[in-house]
Amino acid sequence: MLALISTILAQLTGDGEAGLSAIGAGLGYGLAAIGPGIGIGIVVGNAITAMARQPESAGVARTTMFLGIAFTEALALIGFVVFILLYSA
Amino acid sequence: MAEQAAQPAAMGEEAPERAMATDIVRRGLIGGPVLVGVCAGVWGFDGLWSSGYALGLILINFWLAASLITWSMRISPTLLMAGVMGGYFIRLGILTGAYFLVRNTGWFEALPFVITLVAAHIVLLVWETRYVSMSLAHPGLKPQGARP
Repeated sequence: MLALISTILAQLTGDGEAGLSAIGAGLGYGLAAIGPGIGIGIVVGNAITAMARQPESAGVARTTMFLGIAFTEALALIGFVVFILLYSA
Repeated sequence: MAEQAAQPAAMGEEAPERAMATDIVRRGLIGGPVLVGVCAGVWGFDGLWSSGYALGLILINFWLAASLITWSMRISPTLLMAGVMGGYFIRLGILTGAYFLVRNTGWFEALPFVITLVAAHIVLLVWETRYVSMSLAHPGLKPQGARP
């Protein structure tokens, strides 16, 4: 979805080789966002399981979950960086 | 039955992620200017504005992530899943929108922007991780003066 939006936005402003570069950048960004999405799903799913099993340790599970989400999101940010570098090249 | 009904509310009473996000923002405001200064030194005023813009986006990103978790956790763990996944999508959308908003302006430089974006995110997280407590008594941040 993000790749599609990015590609459409890029296509509105580009042509020829720049357009192809924009499509590549958009697709790369979208593909790079899939992995962290799966990772965040795993992190949150397991945190919810931990909270359901031991409600008294919910605070610790939430702390770990927040850190896990943030570290996983760094991968998506790297994908975003590659998108910007490809798109602005 | 009453215990089961009270469980989600009890889990939402404390918000360790909010405390951590506040701490990350505080550390970002303390340490961020160093990174912004380095970018300003290399790329001039364009680097200063671009780097500052990226730092602001990262701090908003952390704060938004924590706020979404705190809000959704108060309602139900089911909404937490939806909130985090939706929040991930929304935050990436905000970052993309923020980039497209300024990419054609005269002051925007891509390189200091992306360097600050990644470096600030990772450095602030690693910095924060050193101060996180994983004990049941103190979820979130370690009490001041606690030994690691």
